[in-house]
Amino acid sequence: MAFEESPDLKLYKDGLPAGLPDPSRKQRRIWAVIIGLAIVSLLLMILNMAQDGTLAILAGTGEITGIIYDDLGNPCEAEIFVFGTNLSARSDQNGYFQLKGVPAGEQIVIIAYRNSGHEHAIHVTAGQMIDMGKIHFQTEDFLNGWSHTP
Amino acid sequence: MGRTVRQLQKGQGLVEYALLLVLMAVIAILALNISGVSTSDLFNQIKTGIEGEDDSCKPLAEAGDEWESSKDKFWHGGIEQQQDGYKVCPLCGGLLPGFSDSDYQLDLSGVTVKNTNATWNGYGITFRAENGANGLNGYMFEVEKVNKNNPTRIYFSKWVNGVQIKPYIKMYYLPSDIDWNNPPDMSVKVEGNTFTAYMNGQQVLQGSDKTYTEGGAGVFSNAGTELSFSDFLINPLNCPEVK
Repeated sequence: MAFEESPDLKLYKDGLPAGLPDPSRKQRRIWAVIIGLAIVSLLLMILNMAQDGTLAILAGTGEITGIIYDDLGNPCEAEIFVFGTNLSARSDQNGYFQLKGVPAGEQIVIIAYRNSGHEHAIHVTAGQMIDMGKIHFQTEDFLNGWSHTP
Repeated sequence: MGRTVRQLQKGQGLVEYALLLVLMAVIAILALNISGVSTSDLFNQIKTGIEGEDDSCKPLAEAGDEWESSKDKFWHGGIEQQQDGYKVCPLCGGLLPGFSDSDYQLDLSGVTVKNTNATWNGYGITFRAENGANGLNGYMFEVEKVNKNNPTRIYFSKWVNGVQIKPYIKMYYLPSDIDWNNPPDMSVKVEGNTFTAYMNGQQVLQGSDKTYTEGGAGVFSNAGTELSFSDFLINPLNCPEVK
């Protein structure tokens, strides 16, 4: 403000005039908005973590088991992995597999044999074992140009 | 001497405004992330919007001297450049090197096939794909003739760690007006969770899946076919026409 535009001191001879804007009110409003935005970003962050699986890791891990059979009904040595993780296992000669440390929450388990695979959506609960039961491959699974001979 | 109360208040005000801006940016990024919108795609859309429509229809990538070979325990080899195009040996495939994006349109043209076996003839396009440590990850659109007794089928499939997932995402049979012996040009439009396949400009199949949100693209051939093609382009979406 230019010096010439400064208010006259006579205006203040009886003290500060009533109704002057309270500078701290504006500040309080800004802080209310900041806190509001911080809460929204925290909620979005939690949603984001739930989407990418970080929340599931924090929630703990569980275990999955099952028995895998080939298209002829014989137990087979297949590969089992959990989509989006480095977790994998191989079933034994009896077709039995056990996979520990699977993050809790919704998971996609892939059962793979002779370059064909099945997807299984499962819900893993922390500290619990999920038995996927008997998993059978079908003849159609190997109808392709590469895995028709074992 | 120390700063006046007014100076301190002004400084504090700036900190508050900076905090507001940072929080708004964080919210925008998180919201985009949750909704599945790629920030790089958004940036590119804005960029192409500013630069003008002509630039936005330039290919994002195209077949060149080099291909990223899919050769591993499963695929037999990659793609070879020839004088008049490219050759893909049976059960071979490759990706365009250094390209990865979420939404695009793929155009494979000048296709000829030589069947090296009486069965499992076919070829196709891979998209949102990568050659991972354990094998191919991504999607495929394929036209496949199992043998002379079966109708030619077309399908979208998903690959995880070099394994093809069954059942397929979507399967149908080759429309009767498309001649397998005169292989059609092939296009695939990849947009969000929806994939649409075209042959000779005609929509032939549409599928949907949400596993992979971005990745590269390439060409492959089935076990009984040697494929040749003249060009393979990756174009941005919404260009004048799908060829």
